[in-house]
Amino acid sequence: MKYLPIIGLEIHVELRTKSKMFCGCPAYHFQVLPNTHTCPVCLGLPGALPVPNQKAIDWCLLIGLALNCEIQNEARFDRKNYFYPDLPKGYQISQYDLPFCRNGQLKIELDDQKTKVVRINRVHLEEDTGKLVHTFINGEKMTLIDFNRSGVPLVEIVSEPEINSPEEAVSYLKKIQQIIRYLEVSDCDMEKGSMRLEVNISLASPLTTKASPLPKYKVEVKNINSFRFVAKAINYEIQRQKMLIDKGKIPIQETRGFDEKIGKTYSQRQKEESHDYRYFPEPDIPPFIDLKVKSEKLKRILPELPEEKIKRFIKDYGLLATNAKILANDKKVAAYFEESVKILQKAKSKRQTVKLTEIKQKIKDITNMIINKKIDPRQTQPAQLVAMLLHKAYQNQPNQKVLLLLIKRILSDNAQAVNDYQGGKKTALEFLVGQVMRELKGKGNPLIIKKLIEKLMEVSKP
Amino acid sequence: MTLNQLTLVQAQAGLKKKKFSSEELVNACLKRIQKVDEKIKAFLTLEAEAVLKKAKEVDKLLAKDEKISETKPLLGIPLAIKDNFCTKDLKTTAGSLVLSDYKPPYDATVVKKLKEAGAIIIGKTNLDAWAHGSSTETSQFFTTRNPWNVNFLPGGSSGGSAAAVAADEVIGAIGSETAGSIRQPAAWCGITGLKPTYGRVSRYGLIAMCSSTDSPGPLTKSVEDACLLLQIIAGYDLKDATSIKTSLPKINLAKFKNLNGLKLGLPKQYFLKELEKEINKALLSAIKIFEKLGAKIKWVDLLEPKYAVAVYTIIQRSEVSSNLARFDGIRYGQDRSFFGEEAKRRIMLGTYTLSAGYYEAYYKKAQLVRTLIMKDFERVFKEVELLLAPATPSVALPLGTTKEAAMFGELQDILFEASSLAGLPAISLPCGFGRDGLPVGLQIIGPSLKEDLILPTAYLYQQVTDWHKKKPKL
Amino acid sequence: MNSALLPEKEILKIARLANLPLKASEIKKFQKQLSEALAYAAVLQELKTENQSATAQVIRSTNVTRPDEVVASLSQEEALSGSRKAYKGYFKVKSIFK
Repeated sequence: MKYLPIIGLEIHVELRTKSKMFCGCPAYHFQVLPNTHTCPVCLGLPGALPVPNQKAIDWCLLIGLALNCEIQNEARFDRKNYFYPDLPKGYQISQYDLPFCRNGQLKIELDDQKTKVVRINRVHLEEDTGKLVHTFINGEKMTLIDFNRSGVPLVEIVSEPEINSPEEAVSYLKKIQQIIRYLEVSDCDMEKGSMRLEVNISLASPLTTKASPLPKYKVEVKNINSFRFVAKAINYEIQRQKMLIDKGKIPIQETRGFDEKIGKTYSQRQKEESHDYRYFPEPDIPPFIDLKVKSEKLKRILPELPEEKIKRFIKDYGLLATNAKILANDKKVAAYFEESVKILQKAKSKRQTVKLTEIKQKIKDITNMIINKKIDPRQTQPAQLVAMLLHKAYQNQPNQKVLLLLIKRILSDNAQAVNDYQGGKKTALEFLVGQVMRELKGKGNPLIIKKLIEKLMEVSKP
Repeated sequence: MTLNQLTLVQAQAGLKKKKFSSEELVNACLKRIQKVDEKIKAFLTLEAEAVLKKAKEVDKLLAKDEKISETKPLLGIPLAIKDNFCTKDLKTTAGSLVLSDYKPPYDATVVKKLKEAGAIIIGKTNLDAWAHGSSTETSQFFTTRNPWNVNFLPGGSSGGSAAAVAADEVIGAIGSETAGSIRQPAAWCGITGLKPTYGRVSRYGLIAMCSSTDSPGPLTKSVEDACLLLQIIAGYDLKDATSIKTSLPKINLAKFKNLNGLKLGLPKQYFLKELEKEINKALLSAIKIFEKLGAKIKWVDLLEPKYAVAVYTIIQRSEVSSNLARFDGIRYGQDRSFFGEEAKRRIMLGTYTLSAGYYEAYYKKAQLVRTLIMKDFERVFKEVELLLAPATPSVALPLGTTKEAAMFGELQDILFEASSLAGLPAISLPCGFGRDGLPVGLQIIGPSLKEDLILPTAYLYQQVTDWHKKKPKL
Repeated sequence: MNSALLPEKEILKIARLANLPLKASEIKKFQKQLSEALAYAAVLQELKTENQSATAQVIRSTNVTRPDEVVASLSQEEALSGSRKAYKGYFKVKSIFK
């Protein structure tokens, strides 16, 4: 029996604002002493009141715009009421029926070069909870609570249940992460917890979708901490649900956790009732209006997003699509590439002007050097990179094989220097590089030679 | 007259003219408290020693720099604060066993402003637990008595503050009103109580009851005093997103000599059938006085108060159920089993009216009717400038009346709920006496932000009457 | 006016949602009192509100925010000062898992 997985993803993104969502406490909480970034507001002390962070709202709108959402002209915050030790007020300030953004869409790439559009139901803003630490004190199981994270701004991105495979899910997640990092509004790092995920899965089958378009149940899976576990967790869940449906049972609607050590999901036994959140408008925060005007202003400061950048790289620099994608994957690398090209286009070497026809080749070279990691963008300035390229010697690069043989000869002829370097003397390396350059009569790239020598010496280490 | 019997304005003047010191003033109040508070029980927390120490420091300051009182208008004056305002390192209980030993690490904005103005906070006053009530009888500690007759209730929820002022235990006090909690005890205790426009005074640090109507305000011996305190505590607060950005205009009461044809409306529906006859009589006399002062009296129509009672009951209890969710005993206070019955009752109803399946029929419907109530006032304020009405259906009721009465608070406040729901400013003034020698109060309600019309009108009334000068025999 | 009594099951459900421990005597009492209070609410149905917008706010402010600036926090000691059960800088509760 073929069942279609019906998957919806809920992503929570921690914004890297300076202060928290509703108070002026610092928003960062990584490796900070417990309960040192709190105040009456985020601790939920009696009498405290929330005041929304303007930047968090702007960034939520930016995310919505980047995901092609309709920015709602009117929005407000609501209270989501439930009890849990990490929730100091006994309610979370979130958005229920008037979120900032609705009806977006994201184009994702599938393995076979096809694309798919996944619709996004909403993008809204809320506050984070405190952190629980489970431990034993004097043999008794206790829970410790740190409220440093309480009140940090979170943007929630909810997709429609239109994802149909683990691969699509991972592709969607990676795309969202890339866009958010491009906006520079969050580290969006699953391992650091600044990107969190909840997966809703069900299987569409004649049994589960009798008299309804979507399956009559859905299982929520939490506690997935990295991309590689996403696929695992989804696959496990699909199998688990399939087995139940094969037996003629409809899986229970519940929340399950994922145990990464054994690669399985497990029930967290949530009661149905506890989901009556009794949402009502937050009386402490006036509503928001005229947001469309604001979003027009924000559109102007929206940075170029990956898709546009890739198109532009292909058009303006004549790059291959695959190379353009790799360069655009990380905004900083893309910027490095463009900076280098700009310098190149303005450059005049000592003896010659770089001809137009050569620029195209040089751009290919820059691309190559970045993609094949021949230089480290963090170490080599764009200007240096261009200088290296234009260096006459580079144009007459010796054959790689020949170069390696030469280096091996130089190393064996200079055993003392090799020993010195391995003993910690860095200047010995410079000496060796110089020896090679002498043999090449200057026609070599010192950086590349240096790297090759280092590699060889690593290999030969006792 | 003893120093504790002075009004705020008199105390200010006296200190300035060096007729007495702050220490003498504070001492007079402490002596009075010692003498009568065993009977009245207005105070939950009293810091006698600390307060005297502060007074002595103030006197030193005054000796060094006479001009200092210009920047600190309340310097050296003892005030009482209702115990639902957070006072840093000073016990704040909200009248409940849940917070019986809670000491906040911060001051409410109102408290901060009073301290900056130089006031000496003599102690925290009793209230209906969590401000849930109109009698002070639901305080989980003890019941405050009405200084006019200690077998009767002072009203609530700011009963402790009202009684302390009426008994001259302090020069003035601060209370809070959700729907009647300042006006009603002021009326029952024969003093002046001002509920400012919602948002006029910051709620930061006021333990929330009904977030969309809670309003801190002064309880004082005169309108002048209320005006003075309002000007100190009002103002936009960055920490309260619902506080008003428009500043309070400067109000110079002495400028007003006549009401000059002010259109004063009498809402027919507020002159209830069940109004005690002495209250009716007192109101009719008051109306004549306002006419003499130059007002143009006109009978007007307002929505039946019963609708406001329903709306208020639902909205308030819904917000209460959420506002009290933070009291779980983890970060402060005791666990939820320490809640008193009234609190539990309100939390239960509020939880019900917000829950799935009932939200539309109750909470949402109540909010829609609330808009009708606001529009109703807007309509009436096109016909008249202010409204004059009785404050309460009866004068103070006997101790024990509230036991087992599920809706006591909301029914007592029937004449306040509509204006509170609409966020309007209003004042309650003494205007006579009724059954059992107990005071009668009237109220004046104004359009949003019009404290500068209400206060002068009330002030003129007090210029030609002396109800507010009468003192209970204790 | 129809003041039907709320069923006991309902009272228990509300108490669970509200995280309120109730004594047996309170359950019966609340059944009666909650039903009474709800009966008062019934008058609202007499008023027509189809064309109304709900009022959640009375002051008519909108778009109130604060700038993204850091303000001094409470010290750890102040933050924990209300609790009797602090442990090495943390708040402490009995484990929520069995």
